[in-house]
Amino acid sequence: MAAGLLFASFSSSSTYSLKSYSVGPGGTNSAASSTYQTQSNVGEQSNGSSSSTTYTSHNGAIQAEQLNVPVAPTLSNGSNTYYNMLNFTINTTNEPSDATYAVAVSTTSNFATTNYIQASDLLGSGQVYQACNVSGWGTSCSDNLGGLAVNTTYYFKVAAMEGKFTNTEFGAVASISTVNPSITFSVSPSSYGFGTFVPNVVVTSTNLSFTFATNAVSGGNVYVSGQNGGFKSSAHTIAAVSANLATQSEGFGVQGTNPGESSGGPLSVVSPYNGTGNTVGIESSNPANIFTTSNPIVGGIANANVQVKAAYTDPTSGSYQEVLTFVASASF
Amino acid sequence: MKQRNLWSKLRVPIIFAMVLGLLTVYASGWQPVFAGTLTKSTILETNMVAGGTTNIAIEFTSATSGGTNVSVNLSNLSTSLTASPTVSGSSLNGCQGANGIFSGTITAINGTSVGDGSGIVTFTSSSTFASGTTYCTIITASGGLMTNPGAGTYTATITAGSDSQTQGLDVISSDTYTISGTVAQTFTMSLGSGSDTFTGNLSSTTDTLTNGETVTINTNAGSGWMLWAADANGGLYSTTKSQHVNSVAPGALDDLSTPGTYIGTNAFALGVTSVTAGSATTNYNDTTGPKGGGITATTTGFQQIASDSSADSSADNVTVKLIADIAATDPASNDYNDTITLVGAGSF
Repeated sequence: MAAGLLFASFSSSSTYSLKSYSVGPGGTNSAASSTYQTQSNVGEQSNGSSSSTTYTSHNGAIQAEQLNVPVAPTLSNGSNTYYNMLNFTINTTNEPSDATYAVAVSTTSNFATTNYIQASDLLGSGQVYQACNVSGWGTSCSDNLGGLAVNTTYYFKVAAMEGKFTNTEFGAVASISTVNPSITFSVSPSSYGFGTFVPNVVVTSTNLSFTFATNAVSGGNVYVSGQNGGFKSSAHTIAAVSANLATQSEGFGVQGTNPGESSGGPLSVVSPYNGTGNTVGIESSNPANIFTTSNPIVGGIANANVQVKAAYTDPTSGSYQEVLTFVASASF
Repeated sequence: MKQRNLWSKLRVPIIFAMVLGLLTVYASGWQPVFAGTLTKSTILETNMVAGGTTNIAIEFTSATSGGTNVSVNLSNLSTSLTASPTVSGSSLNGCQGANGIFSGTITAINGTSVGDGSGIVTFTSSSTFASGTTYCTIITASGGLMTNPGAGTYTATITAGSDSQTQGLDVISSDTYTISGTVAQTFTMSLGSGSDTFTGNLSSTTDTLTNGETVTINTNAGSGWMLWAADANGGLYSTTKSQHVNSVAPGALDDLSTPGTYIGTNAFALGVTSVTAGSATTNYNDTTGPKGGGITATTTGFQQIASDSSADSSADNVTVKLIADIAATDPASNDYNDTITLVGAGSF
């Protein structure tokens, strides 16, 4: 007990306090097997920590081996587009290049329930330290965390480690929210009249205008379908075809044009609607894909026109009409 | 003794280090416990108009194996389903690319009955979901599965086994484009070459025919078309010899090969040798020989030579030939000619 008291009371005065010392060879001890490793020192005072609201200081040789506590990570929800993932960037300022990092994530600010980002970029219960390289968090120390819930706030904090025993505590917290999955679509105008048109001449409508945007990770599609499968009057239907109407005696079809976007995408016109001139695509009661994108898209736009060519034999009786329906979907 | 006391005080740091060691070992082979999520899912409404009734197609790729129940939670989109849904095949192109199609029957709708307010449709697949397999089906109902809400963006959730994914949907004010137009009344008629010549010199011992001229008619007239003919001179005329070869009188089909009656005399007639659709007027129906009818000058009147009473004609061809006989006393000249005027009309 006397010795114990001796080690509990380090040398000190009114101006200094000795927090640790070594006693030479044999004062430290390391052991390892295939399943664990330990490191221990002798001659150090335990519980030698002090802190304030802005810092925490740990004493002792092992504590002194620790890295700087990482500052809060930088988070992104893709400018309010990510609904099932978030991007995080570990701040490596003042950390050595061989540091590894673990990222804790919670849906509560007090981390009452904490998960950790795994090597699979999904959440799990165990801490995973990875370096900032190709096989770890990426060379820029930035990665996407997937499998998240929609419209939910997530809190992130990072710990750093160098070697095997020197992880820091988790640092400052940053938070960000996923958004709801979304798709927006519009088509205008709602009607067009060719008026009276002569046979054997291809006539073209003015442009339809579409807007299309979605944050779906697999993009989306716009489909077209028609009530009549062509331009129909009470006496005759000018059947919809996929062809160059200039070479046909008669026909009716749809042509997609001018796909574009502000970002993401790209939006493209799907065959057979991607023709030029008088080459059009067939429409029927089954929705057919006219525009597509395989990625999230912002500010998607496109045009379409309808072309018709009547034959000399096409009767004039009654008005010809077709009602096209455009539907958009996204793959989340 | 000192040594034992020292180890006693370091117990906590030693345990802390061992925990780190355990984590290091487990990290290499540790499998995250994470709820499966659909790798891809799509809901396609066949009608996205606000207030309309709609059917939906769903497609999803299962991330995990097992389970046969699929539910589509439309509660954010519709507070009530309007009819009992059924599951159909994949006639919608929205179901393209599916590896497996639901053929099961609906086992529950809203848990109890249609319209209980939950907005959940649950049905059962005919087979257990396989990881990585895409399934697709169309949920339809007579009159539409549900009544769409007002225009806006909504979400719906597909749950398949342990997988679940939330979709975005946009209900818009109008998704249709109505095109209308009227085909104009048209009648076009064209001549093959605009000129015709006799196959040889006119003779007092035999009839002579021209090569023929083809008239092509296109019209969308509902009651067909008619074709008339008249000429400039009432027959052939030589300006240099001031000699006429007069047309026979209209009103009969004359055989200009008849000796005594026409051979050896001045006679001129028009015959219609073929009509692809419709028919020649009886007096001009030259299908069996050098037969034709007389024509008069345009100042006198036109004779109807062919017609078609059926609606809508495309490229109806009428072949017209001229037949002439001359007397032995007719002066020789190479400027015998006539100008035939053909007039067509559609009956709309």
